[in-house]
Amino acid sequence: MPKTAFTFNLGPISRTLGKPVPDRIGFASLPVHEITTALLGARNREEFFDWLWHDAFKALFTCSKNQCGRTSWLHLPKNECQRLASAVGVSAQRVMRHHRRLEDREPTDLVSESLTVTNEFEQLYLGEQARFVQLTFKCQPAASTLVLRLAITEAFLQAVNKVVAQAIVDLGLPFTQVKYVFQPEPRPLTEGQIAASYDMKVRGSTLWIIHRVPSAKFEKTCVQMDLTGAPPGRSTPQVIGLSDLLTVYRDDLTVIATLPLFIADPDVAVKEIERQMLAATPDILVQMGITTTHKRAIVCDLLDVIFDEQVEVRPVYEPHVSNEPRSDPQRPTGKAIHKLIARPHELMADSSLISHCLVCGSPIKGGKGRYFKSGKKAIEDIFSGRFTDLEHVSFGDDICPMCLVYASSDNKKLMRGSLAILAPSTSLQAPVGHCLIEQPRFDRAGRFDPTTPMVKSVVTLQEMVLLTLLSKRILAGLVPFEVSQGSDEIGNVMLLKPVQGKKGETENTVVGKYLPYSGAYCLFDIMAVNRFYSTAFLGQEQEGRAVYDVWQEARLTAYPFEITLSPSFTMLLELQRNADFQAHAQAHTLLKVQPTTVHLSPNLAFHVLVDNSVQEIVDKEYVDTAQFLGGLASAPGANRYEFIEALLAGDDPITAAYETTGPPKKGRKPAMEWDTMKMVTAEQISDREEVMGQGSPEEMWATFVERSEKIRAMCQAHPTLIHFHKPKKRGG
Amino acid sequence: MTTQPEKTPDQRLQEAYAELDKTALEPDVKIAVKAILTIRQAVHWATVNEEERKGKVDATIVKYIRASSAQNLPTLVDEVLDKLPFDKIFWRSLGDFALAIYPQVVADDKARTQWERALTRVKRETIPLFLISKKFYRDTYEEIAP
Repeated sequence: MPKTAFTFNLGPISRTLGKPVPDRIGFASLPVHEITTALLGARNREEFFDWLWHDAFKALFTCSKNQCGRTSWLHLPKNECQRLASAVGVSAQRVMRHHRRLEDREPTDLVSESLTVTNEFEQLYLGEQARFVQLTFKCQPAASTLVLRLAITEAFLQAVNKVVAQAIVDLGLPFTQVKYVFQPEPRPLTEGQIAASYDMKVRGSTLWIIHRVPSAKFEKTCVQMDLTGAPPGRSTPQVIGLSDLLTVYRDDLTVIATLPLFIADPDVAVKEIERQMLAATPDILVQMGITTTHKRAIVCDLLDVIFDEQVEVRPVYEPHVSNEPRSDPQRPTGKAIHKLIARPHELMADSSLISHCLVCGSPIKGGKGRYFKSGKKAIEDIFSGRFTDLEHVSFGDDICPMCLVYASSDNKKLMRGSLAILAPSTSLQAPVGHCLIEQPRFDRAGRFDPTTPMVKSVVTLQEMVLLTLLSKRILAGLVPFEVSQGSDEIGNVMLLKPVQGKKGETENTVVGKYLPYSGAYCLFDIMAVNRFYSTAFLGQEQEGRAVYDVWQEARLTAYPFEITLSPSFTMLLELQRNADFQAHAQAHTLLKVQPTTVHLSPNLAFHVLVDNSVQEIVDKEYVDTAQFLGGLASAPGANRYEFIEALLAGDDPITAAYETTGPPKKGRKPAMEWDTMKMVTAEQISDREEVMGQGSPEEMWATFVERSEKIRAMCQAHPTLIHFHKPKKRGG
Repeated sequence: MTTQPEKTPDQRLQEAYAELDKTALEPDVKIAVKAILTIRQAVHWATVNEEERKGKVDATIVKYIRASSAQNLPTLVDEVLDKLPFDKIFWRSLGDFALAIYPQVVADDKARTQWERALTRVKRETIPLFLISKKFYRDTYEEIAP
């Protein structure tokens, strides 16, 4: 079955790291570096322009050693910088001086990269002068609150996006798009000749920055940055939206977004972001079909309480968050990333939170009498008298407002039942593999010498931006459905489904929601969830679409390197293969599962709730077994479910095929009698290489014994496989 | 290889046994295959019509083997032959060939173990063994020729 590899190419690398010998790769590409520095480090219109092309000539890969023997990546040819700047009517001076040391610097110089984009030679700090805004959830990363958290995250990113987009408009730039073009230059020209062919121009609403890479192996690459603030498109991987660029870090409980220096009053901006987020969330929840009420709630709308007590939006810059000194006193101070990531737990450690939510376990001030009216039996009041999943809740009288929304009987569709919830994430599984495509032609210092390979890759702020946007693109590949998307509204995930009661007819049906700014998907339709599972995990083809699966690493071309890495996404997957549908809709199945961080990798393993009660660890071996058995069970005549059941019971495949061949259909004259059909089916399956095959009797028998043992062992290792092949029940 | 049609069933079975003995199959597998060959050589193919040759005869033999509750191979073979339609088999003494499905020396533990394993195999792996046995028939016996 043809599977598509996740391959990305966002231009050449922008930096190598390490002193005195640069021995580490920063794998974020040059366009990502330049736009990130513009958003983080520009204080005004001119500086924004400067940062967008400040490293353009790095694509020549001119490296040499200076008088002290240190390696330098030369990228500021004076004449060419001036030529490019004058072509678009800006000064080249600041770009020319952006690497000058502090003592030489004039007041007009740019803010040093080491103070904004860079935790440059460490991975522990965000830049000292850079500003960020952070969304934090004061709760545990439980499944019961995941959908609500995603809706709030979407509102937050939408608000950040709008505020920054407006600030960019206020800069008065003559363009809204920046297009980075990298073309190969295979001819044996000098650096000067190639640099002379670099170009920068504004055409219409686009700033074009055209590079030439001196290589015959380089492939033309084009990356476009959309600064309008429009939601990023799913089908345009080479176009990077503003919300992608602003998201610096993201996990289940926190999001850190860039707040540019050119926003005059960041405190006002943070307040505006919070205001817009509060305004947008109810609309998003309505579109997702989630009500924030509960019949026993004391307040009419729980959303206000949630924002007051479980959500925090805070500025991350001096004086709100102090910069910390680093181990090397000569280096600038910065914002410790681990402390920012730990913010949810810091908030939850508040000693005034004396109680715990009985559903998600989050520390709260106290639920009974605070958020909801309760009688003697709190659980019955929160859920219903029919609630039976007592083993999945703790004893107590308290429940947090978010879980109260989950428990509301109005929220059955998106908050429980058959679900696939997928959200981008920044995390990366080590190690990152890389190989050198070639040593660039003008690398005279041996920085990219194949005999002294770089030892590892580093993840700094711009790599985190890259990883989050790769995560979004991976999800877009894995979700095999069309999305109908409005301008600002959340999208509808569509699936062509059979019309009930009309045989042969199909119609486009909404099977889930897509949150465009955060790139998250919420599938709530059983058919869609199963199809997603079949595509992303079993690699089954869907209507001629490219098939991506998770059992691979992503490949990133960042000239002169080819990099293999395992980006991740957050997933909550609950199949409903063998459940009683009515009971399942009532069952609080989200209490039984946890969202998982899925790293693209052949060694991936995660839990899936197969139905109301069965949970299975899915890994590559499990999927291979399921595929193998499914292939065997496809023998014509054999009942698929009964065949696999027979294998799981210990039968060999030939006997299983014989025993599970169904009788001829009623009303048709059978071509042969049932007994004969059974023998024919058994004989057919025995011919297959994976069962008995052909050859001498000894070979056939040896194959049969070996394969039967193997199949028996596979079945014993995965007894839950049968749940994936059970006949559908009514209503499915 | 196709043998001459004028060969007697016994000769055909002798050839099948000889072919089987030449193989490197495990002893208990050989005994199990011999038991099936012994049943199958009794079929009087001249009385079997074309439709039945497609698989019905084999299916019937398999069904009876699997249904048998016999405690030893000779009894199992006997039970199956007893159940097959009398007009479709040669109903006669099995001769020396039947010895192959008895333990050769009762006191010999090894032989008895092989024989018991063979019985288990015939009951549990009837169809795979049946398919293997047909391999010898195809090499030594022309079924469609009376």
